[in-house]
Amino acid sequence: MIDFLTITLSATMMALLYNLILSAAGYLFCRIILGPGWTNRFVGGLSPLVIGLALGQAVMGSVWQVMAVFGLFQIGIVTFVLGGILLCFGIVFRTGIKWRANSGWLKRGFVRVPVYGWILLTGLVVVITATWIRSFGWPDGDAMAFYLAQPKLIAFTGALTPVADYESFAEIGLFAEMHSAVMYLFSGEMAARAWLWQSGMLLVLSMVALSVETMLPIGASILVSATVLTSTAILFVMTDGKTDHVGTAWAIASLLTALKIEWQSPWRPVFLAALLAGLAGLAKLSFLVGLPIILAILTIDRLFSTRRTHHINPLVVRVIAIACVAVAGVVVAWSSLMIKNYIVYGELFAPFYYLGGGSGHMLNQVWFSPENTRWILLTYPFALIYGKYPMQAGNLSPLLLAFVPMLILAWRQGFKPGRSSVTLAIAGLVSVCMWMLLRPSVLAPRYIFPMTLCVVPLLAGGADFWLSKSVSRFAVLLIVSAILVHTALIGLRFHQGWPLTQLYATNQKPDGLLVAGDHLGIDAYPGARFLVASYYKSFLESKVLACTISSKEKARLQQLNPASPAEMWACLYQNGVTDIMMYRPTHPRLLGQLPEVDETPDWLDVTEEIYSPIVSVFRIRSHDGTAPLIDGCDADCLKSIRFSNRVECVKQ
Amino acid sequence: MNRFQMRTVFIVFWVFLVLAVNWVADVEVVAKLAVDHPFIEFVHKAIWPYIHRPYVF
Repeated sequence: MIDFLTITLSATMMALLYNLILSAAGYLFCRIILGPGWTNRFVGGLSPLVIGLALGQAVMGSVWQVMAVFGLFQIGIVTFVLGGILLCFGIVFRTGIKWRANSGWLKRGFVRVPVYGWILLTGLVVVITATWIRSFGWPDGDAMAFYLAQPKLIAFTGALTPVADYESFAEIGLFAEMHSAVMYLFSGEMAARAWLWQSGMLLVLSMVALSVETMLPIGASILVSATVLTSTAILFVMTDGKTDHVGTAWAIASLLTALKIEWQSPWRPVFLAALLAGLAGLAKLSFLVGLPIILAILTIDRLFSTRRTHHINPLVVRVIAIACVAVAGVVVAWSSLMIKNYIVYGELFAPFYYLGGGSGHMLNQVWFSPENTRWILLTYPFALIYGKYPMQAGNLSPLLLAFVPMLILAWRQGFKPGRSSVTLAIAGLVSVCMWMLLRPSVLAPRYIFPMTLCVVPLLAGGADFWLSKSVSRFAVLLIVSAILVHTALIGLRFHQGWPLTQLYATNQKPDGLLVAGDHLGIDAYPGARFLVASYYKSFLESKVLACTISSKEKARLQQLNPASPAEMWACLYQNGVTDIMMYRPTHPRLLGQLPEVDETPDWLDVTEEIYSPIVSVFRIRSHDGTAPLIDGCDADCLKSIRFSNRVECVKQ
Repeated sequence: MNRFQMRTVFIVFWVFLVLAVNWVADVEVVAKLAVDHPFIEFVHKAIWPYIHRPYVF
């Protein structure tokens, strides 16, 4: 337990320190884009805090990505950049920071917390603590396959080296993953996981800020937090090492900025909102379907509500001018991805359009048969809240459904929501409908987080009004108790994995897969190449990860088509593949079929080390102990040279 | 029972129904605590098929 606390608390402090530096960077960028006194545009003091950190994360993610492309992602250079940020921040704000002219917002907010709000806060503390613990546990499938493996490899090589088997997938924007890479660079996986959990907390805070900016009372903010923290889809991604929630926080920060667009001087908020939305959309490509719609509706509504003219022509001209500024923001956001994909893949517009004639396979996903897709569409929104479909990875909170009748009755009792919360909800519903039309068979709340979260402030506002005005305190107590039990149950659910979490966080290898990964690099020939027959790779040693054969090399080996089992082993050995890890549940057949270990040529020995009934490591060794006569992989060389020279190290 | 009381009872019932379906259908903790309970059986047989369907890729 002491070991666990030492490891996790130090990782949390490391991530917190890094986030503070990112906040400083974001504050500087906001001052440049929005001008001095930008914090006074907002109602609450929380919004500048959230926007500053979100912008710092988004922009620095782009900077790290470009640095990695040119092989400059080295610990010395990254430290220099982070130090430079702090120095600039100190110089610009040497006379002190005026966070917000109208201070005391936090104190006033706490005074106004209703009694039921205090009760709910205790439940939220349980969930927050449980997710913090769980975030140091065994990562789930996708994170173990790519979202943690890729940053680990980038941190090790100092360059944007795609992980084997995911070469084309790495065309996506790695804006959030680059921060995990920074954590790997300075500490390790635990710090990366702590940073991802803190980004989940940023999402919660950004939703609270959204409810404050839409003029909802503090009770509604607590209900908003409860809704976010009881959405298992959000809790899963922020604890298992994935990054969907990072882009979501940036998207919500973009909406916060868009709420400050005014007829008189819309340009700066429009540019910042477009920049944040662009980076959020490139961090999670599915957001590109709904975010532009939400921002367009919000912007037009803001222009109408603050306009100084009733003539249509000036309005049209202004909308066109704003669209041009927004496009400029998106182009700036996109530039980092274009640089990366042009230099690494030779495709300037990947993964959207391929000049070389490829197809945008990542964007055209179909998950289910037409019959089941029809069924899913008919059961919206229940499918998002109760559905258990493959790859869905969690649901939205059932509180969304619970609040609907409260909102309707609150309306009849005189609830007057702010214009912006209604606009947000309408924009969110329209964008979800658009998703249903364009990607009907892709059912996963994590693909549409920003769109679904737009309806939360209005629903929470209505529920808060009804709970505050209810004539029956007993009824309020029952409802609050039910929500409290729900949050506690979710906390318990995450606590169930505690023994495994403790073992994983303290590096005690609770599973054969992890033990096999640990042993894969042991006693390997110098320059050995590794064949990893498993989707999951994040637990492999960095050197092994760097020297794993790529999907192209794997395809070449398959084409060699050996005539006999003995020839198969010899073929693998002669191509430098001397160590193989096989994970049977996902890769029961390897390179067609891996022969038995006793069917070897006279000059080779093959041994199988069994780490569990489903995981084995094969070692191919020559009798005289000589290494294969080819130039193999030099992991140390990979680490020290730039990406453009990488091919010199790994000879095909 | 007047109109306000009726609405209050409806809201309480609705909140419990929405959360209870989630507890039974989704949260394994409750499922483990009360296996074979008639309510769980009701949710799984009467409500669940309308929300969740066996899938075919």
